[in-house]
Amino acid sequence: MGRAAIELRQVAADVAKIPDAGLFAAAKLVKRVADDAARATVSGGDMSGKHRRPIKLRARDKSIRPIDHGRAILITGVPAGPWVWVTSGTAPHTIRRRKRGPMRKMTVHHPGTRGRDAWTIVIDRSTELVPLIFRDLVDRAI
Amino acid sequence: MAGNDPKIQIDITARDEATDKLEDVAATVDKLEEASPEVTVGADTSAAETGLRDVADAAGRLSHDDTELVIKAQIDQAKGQLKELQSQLEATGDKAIDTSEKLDKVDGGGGSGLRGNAIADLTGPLGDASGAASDFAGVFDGLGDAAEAAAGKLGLSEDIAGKLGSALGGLGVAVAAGAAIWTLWSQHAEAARKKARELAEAQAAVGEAIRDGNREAALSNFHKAYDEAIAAAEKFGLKQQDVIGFITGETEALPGLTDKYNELKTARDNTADPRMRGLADERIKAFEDETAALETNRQKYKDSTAAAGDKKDAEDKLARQLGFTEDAQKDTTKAVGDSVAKLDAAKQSTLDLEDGYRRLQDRLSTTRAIEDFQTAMQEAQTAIHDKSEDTKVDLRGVEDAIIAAGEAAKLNPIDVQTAIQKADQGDIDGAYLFLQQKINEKGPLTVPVTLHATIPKLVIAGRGGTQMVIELDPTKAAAPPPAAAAPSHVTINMPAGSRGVDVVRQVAGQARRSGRRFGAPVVSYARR
Repeated sequence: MGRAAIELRQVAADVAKIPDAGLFAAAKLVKRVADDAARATVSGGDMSGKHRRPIKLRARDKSIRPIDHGRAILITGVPAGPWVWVTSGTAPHTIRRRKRGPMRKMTVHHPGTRGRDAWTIVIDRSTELVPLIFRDLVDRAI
Repeated sequence: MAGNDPKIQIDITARDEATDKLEDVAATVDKLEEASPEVTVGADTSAAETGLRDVADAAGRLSHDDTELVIKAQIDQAKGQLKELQSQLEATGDKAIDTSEKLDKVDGGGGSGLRGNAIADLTGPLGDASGAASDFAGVFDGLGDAAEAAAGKLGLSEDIAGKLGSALGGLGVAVAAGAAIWTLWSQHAEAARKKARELAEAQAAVGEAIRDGNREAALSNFHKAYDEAIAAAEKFGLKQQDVIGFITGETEALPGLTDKYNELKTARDNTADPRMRGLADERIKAFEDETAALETNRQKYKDSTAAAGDKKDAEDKLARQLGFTEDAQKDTTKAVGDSVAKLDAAKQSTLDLEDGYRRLQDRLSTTRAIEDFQTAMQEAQTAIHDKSEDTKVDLRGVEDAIIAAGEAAKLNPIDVQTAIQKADQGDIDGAYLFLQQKINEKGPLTVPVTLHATIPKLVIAGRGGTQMVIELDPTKAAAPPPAAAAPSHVTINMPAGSRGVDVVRQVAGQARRSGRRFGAPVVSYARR
């Protein structure tokens, strides 16, 4: 085999490694972006849940799966409900009164929230940054 | 279910269609490379071909018989030149030693520094080269004598010995010449090897001829000595082969001898006639005499064989001497090759010495010009101090001294003009200090003498014969020493809480500091 052919095959082998390496780095990046977006949306990235238990907004990835001519990875915001709330907002609803006493089970009206497009921010930011990762890997391979 | 809500999912896909295409391209390129396409480059190679033909012609001449004579004649000329070179080298060495001693005296006997660094290094190779030149000439003197002496020991005639000595000498020189350029031109070395093989074959042929000559002489003498006995024995019906075998000791008895003797005696006894009986007695008497003669010849041959053995030992001894001669020629070849390298070193050393003298002369002229300047300035200061004013003559002397010193030190003309203006304005001290400062800025004057190796190059010149010329590479200017890098000082403010003295890690931002409270972005996995 000639020298040029060997070098081309080496490049092809390096290019073949890009999908897995790029998806792995992209998943880490998206999760970090999700953490930043959560912190920017709610104080400290935690929502106050029932019994004052904090709800941490974060992102989780599934393992890399094969697809036609490539690979793919799915990143999901967890827990899903709070992410929807901070993204789309909530309709008016009633909530329990949070005080002790004979009237502790009384419900009160909550006017709802407008939503702060938290996950939309994650998507926009990831759409901007993830291609840079793959571009960098391609530059290194070639 | 909210967990499957596509609103909060990001699915990143990476499709790779490049790898297969790259593999296809690589396969195509591989086929193209296996095709070994020819690339024709147009160039004028006539000059190179001419040079190669010249080299081939020279190589052919070296293997020609006439070349031996040419080389031998040139060697005689070279011996004279070598003696002249030896005397020149010795004279140069003495001159170098004398010069170094004078330099020591100039510096008050403390040593100039030059002697230790340059001249002392040069005198060593000069001495070696002188000895090499002597060895080189002596080699040629002894070569022909050794060859003729070896030929004389062979017992050959004077005429043949002379021819053999000439051949051995010529061949030896050819071997020496080939070995001297062994590493420079392989074709010469090949020719030398060919000559060496011819020499070895010639020596073997001479030894074989001697042995064959002895064998033929012995065979001739054998027939001359034993022909009568063999002929007489044949008369009695004995076979010639059996007789020769008996005489030479190959057999202990002659087959049929006893039977023949008994047959003669029986024939005599059976004869009643007195005359026939007398004739039979004579035949028996002749047979007995012949038998005794055969026995005598057998003993003579036995005695002569011992002498032949001694002669064979002498021949073996001569063969060993020839081997010694061949070894001596090999040693001579090596000595000649070593001498060539020493001569190269000597010539280069001579060039370096001349270069050192030239630099030394420059240095002395520069130093003297600056000393004159300093003297003139000091005298001008003294005169002005004594007279309380500067005279026109003093100023002119100062101006001349400034110009001479500036030219010798190769100062910028602007600096020289500035110094002259200072002197003209009456600031003699200022002019002196200014010019001295500029001279000092030029740095100390040094004499760089560097011994550097050069590559000898072989040149084949002339059509009349092969001439070996060692052409030294043109003297390369010694590379100036690299300037020392100016020291730079960097102030590094170490971050609070930094540990140890690993400045590199601290500056590179890879240090672990004591917590987020410093707000540094390099902190990772810090405890809260």
